[in-house]
Amino acid sequence: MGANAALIKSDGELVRRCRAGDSAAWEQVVHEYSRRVFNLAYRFTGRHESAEDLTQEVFVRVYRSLDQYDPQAGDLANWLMRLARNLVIDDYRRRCRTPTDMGDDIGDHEYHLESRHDAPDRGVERFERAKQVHAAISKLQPDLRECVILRDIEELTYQEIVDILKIPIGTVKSRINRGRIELAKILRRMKVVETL
Amino acid sequence: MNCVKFQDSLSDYIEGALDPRARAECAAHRLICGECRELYNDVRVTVQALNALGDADGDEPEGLRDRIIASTTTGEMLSCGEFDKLLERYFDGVILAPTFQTFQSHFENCFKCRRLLNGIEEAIGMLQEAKETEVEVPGSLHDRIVAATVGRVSSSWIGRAQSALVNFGRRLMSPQMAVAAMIIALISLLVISRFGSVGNLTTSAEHKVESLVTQGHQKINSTGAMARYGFQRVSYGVNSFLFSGAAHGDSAPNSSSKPNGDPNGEPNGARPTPQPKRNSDLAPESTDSTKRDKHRTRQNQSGR
Repeated sequence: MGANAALIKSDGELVRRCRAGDSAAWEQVVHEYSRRVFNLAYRFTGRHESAEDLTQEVFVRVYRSLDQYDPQAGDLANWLMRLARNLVIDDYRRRCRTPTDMGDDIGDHEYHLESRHDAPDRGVERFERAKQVHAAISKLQPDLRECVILRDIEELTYQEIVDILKIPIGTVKSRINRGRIELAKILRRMKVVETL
Repeated sequence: MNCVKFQDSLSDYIEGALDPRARAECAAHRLICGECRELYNDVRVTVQALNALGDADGDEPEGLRDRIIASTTTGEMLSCGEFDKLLERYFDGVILAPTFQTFQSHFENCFKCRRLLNGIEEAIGMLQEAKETEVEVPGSLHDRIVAATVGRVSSSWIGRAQSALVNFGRRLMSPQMAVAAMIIALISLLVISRFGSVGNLTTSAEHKVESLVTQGHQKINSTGAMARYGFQRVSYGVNSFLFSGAAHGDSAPNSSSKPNGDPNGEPNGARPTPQPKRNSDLAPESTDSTKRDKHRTRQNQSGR
């Protein structure tokens, strides 16, 4: 996307141009949402490489599904992130079925979730804390983990989680509760909770 | 309220979703139970940490946006994962034309996949090379293996001859020897096609040799005859001179007729045969024309 290109404000117009083959419009979509999608993918995969691949897969699917977006039905952000969540969770559940794929490299890979706008010392502190919290999340059992991520990091409503996970609201609530308690205990064992 | 009930209601309590009565019960339990109080604090702090994690999205890795755009722009909608899946079919040469175009355009646009494909091609080339070059087995290896397995070395000359024979046989199996064998086979084929069989070749060679020997004899005989003739003439001249000297006493030596030919008696006809001109340029230069087709599809790597 060219730096001088005017940003398209309306979601409907943006998607219409993307569908017409306007590469600048599509680049605007990628620039606006790639960070959010990557972070979502990273929370579920716990692996940097997998999160990158997954983000790419999500955008290929988004691009192919652009004709399904209805501006009357809601924001592009909601539509795109809902699609992304579904794909990320599908991938997560697929990997849960093949446990050999479930390794995570949160502990040892080069961590990218550091905000570049922070002062260096604050940045390091945030980086360490985020790393520990991610490490603790990765220790949760898969069904609790997805509910906690969707509720407390993605901050979805219970109903949205019900729609994505296709499980009863009671189960969602109970998993979130158990997941939070479990996570708090893990963080305490890791001696992270006192410093939070 | 007991601890189990408190923990079951903990999320709702923290989120303020309980009715006033249940909230009051939880608050009362939190006051009297130290363990649940600590858990309540921990969970609350944990939820806050998770919310903070969601609010501060980190930057995506450098190059990811370009990678996404490269894999989604019109006509190039192939993700790296799909590219990976097509790789095997690409190397088997069974990608259909429309898919191949997408594959090709993804290859041109994605540095990562270009590097992957080139790496695979290089690896295939290296394997091919490794397959063609066979390392010579050291002569002592056989003895070492025997010593390490059955605990003795074949020290007799028969044993050594056997191992040498085995080594020779193994060498015969090398690709170089295969080429030599092919050359020998080709020569044999030519001989057989020309002479019918190797036996015929020897018969024909015998005839040739015989005729050459006969010709040689004839040449020698004719040369000998000429030499004899020359010698006779010289001796005749000497005799006539001597006899005339004896008959007339002093006579002028100049009156004698000089014999034709060499004073040493070498006949005029015996001249050295000219050496045939050797054409040293006939030896062809051996050229090694083995070229390896690397199947390289080097592209200009766009800076990313």
